[in-house]
Amino acid sequence: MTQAVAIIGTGQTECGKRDDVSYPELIHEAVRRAFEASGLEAEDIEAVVSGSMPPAMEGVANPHLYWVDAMGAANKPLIRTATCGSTGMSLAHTCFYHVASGLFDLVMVIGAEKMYEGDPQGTMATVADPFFQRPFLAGAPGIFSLQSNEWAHRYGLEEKRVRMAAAQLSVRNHNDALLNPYAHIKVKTTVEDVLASRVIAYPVRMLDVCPGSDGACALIMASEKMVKKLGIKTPAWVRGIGYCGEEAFFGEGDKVVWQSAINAAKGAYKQAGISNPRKELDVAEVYNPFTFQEMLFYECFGFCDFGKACELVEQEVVMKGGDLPCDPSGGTLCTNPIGATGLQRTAEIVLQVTKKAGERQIPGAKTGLAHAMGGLDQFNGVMIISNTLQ
Amino acid sequence: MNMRVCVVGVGAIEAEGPILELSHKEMLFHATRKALDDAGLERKDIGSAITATFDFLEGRSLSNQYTLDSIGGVMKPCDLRLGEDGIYSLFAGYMEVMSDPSQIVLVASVQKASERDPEGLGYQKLIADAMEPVFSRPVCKSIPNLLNLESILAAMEARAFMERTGLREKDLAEVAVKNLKSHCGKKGSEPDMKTVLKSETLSWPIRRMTKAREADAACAVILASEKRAGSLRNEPVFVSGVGWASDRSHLPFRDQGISRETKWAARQAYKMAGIRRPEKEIDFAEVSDWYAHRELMHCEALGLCSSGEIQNCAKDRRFDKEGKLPVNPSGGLLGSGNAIGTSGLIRVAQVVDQIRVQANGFQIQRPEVGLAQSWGGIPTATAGVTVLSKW
Repeated sequence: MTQAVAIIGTGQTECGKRDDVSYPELIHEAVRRAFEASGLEAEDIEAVVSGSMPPAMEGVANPHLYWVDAMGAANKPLIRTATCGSTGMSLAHTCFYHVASGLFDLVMVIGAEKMYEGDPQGTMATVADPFFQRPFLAGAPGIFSLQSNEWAHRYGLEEKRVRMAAAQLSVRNHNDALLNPYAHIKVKTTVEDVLASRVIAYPVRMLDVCPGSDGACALIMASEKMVKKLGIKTPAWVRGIGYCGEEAFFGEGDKVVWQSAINAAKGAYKQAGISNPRKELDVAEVYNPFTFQEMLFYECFGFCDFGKACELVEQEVVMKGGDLPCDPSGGTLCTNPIGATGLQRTAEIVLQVTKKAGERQIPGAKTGLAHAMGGLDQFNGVMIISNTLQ
Repeated sequence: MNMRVCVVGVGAIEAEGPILELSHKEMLFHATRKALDDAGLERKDIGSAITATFDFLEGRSLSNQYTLDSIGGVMKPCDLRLGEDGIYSLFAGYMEVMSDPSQIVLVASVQKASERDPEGLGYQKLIADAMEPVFSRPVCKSIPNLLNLESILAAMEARAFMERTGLREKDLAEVAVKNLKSHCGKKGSEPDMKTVLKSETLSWPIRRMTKAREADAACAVILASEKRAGSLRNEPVFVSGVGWASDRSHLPFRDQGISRETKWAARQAYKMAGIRRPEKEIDFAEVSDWYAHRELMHCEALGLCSSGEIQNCAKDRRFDKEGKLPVNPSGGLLGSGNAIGTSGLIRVAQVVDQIRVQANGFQIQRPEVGLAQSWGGIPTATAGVTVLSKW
């Protein structure tokens, strides 16, 4: 890369049903907070990157143009990215390229979604191609329950054990969300509650599924030169990025030994010089709209061997106080404004490695992994963030 | 910046009429194959792939999700631009190559207008959907059934432009004749002014022939760093400047009859390319002539004439193919049709062809520095500019 990239400010909105604000107002809330966090103003920003779910969600053909005023993006280069669930991570990557290429020194990236105003399942159902897949791939839970079952079956994992591990993850996420001021679902749950909640699409139960939220997230990225110029004391450096896309057709790829997830992580590890992620990472924000999927990602990211993810949960490796605590924000499972979700994962890692995560701070966190998955279960993006440049 | 980005291969699928025998995916596949052959590369050489489309035109969500297979983008880093012209994927690709000079990036876009009814009500609804929904969109209520909405909005800005510059309807027709001539030149069926001025009025001064008809097309462009390009077959064409910008969300907040977004985008591109006097330093341009008045508006915003001089440009024929600064020598959108969302990338491919002296039938003399511009269309205010050069 031409120049090193740092994240110098994050701004998140409270998530949930935000009918107190309009779409642009919601975005402005995140943008304002990012400015407050970095001590910058709209005039300082050279370019803007923004994105959300495909426009059917908003009912506006070019949503980024609808937000221009809210983002302070008029007369600036503005580009839009949309890759469904991984939109936030694609946005972070696109923003990274703006700075890494040497074209800009100070760039803002914004992801947002108002899912209560749109029709999320309707939008997602029309992502599947109209001829072959749409008739049987209805909405998100169907796809992910297929994947969960395939994973458990491949390794001959006992049903009871998998369900128990998933329930423990659900409880961990819900407990963590209670400490996150921006989280949407804030309920105290127990393993029994999760196991007894109603089935959405077997084996996925109500408390195994993320909500649809209204929310926005903004980050400001800067070049090394700009970090020095502005005298930023606690920048979070982007140490590596990896992204991989798969075939359009759901059935063509192996979704258990999930090559796009493996490649994305490998790419990012290589750039960051990480050879043993379990040891070298201090914290990870793994995209987990479904509890089962989080375990599958542990394997693809090399946190454990294939088929061994349940052990990580059973031995509390991924819990707070463990070797590699995951999703201290409560994860996607508790907050999911889709276009912003990937950016929220990135923002959480930034807060963790710069010791600004408040009550949910992981002690001594220096290097973290942020991840998001999207498309029709086909894109994976990873970003490694650290508080040191080397 | 020492490193430069080059276009090493282009491939386009265009046709006069609807492309019925190929699907979206196949059109993109053929465009990609052409670009790869042009560059002397294979699918495995592509390091990263970026596509751009408009969901509401395709009638599905994340409509570029299923074209990755066609452009050799599977199991590779990829990015999807949604609701943006293909030229934006070129900007993203440019930044990827600048960040990682070892990378070869393929950017592509496709549009199949013939699968919907460009003249029908659906497209007018889309225009309404593209408007800011709270304050601007309600304006559409005053138009029964949204009939002709696009032309009405285009006419509004065309009239503001004519009012400000003193240009007449004849001058707009002149643009259409020029571009149709460039396009049909080799076939000998040259349209004249009378035909253009007699064509159906959609909303004065927008006429059937001063508005580009929709077309089917696909385009793929391959980008690589200068160092990487050195080992490839073709003489590289350098991307010496890129710029893109958007104006404010609300229609009433924007000046009508002026393309500020193009001006801002050009400012960025010129700064990168080190161009101070565009009217002297640029040899030719391919700009969006979605409507005849837009070509002149864009040329003005790009600084292809001195300020306040656009009226004279129509008279002194400087933008003709044989003129001082040929604009749209390929015939532009008025000539060859407008594949929405792909036309910007096709403008880039046209400029590359000219610089390589491969623009069959459209070739101009001494093309060394060319400019490609794209505009988002009614009712948006977003534009992208690319400066390409031989050296």
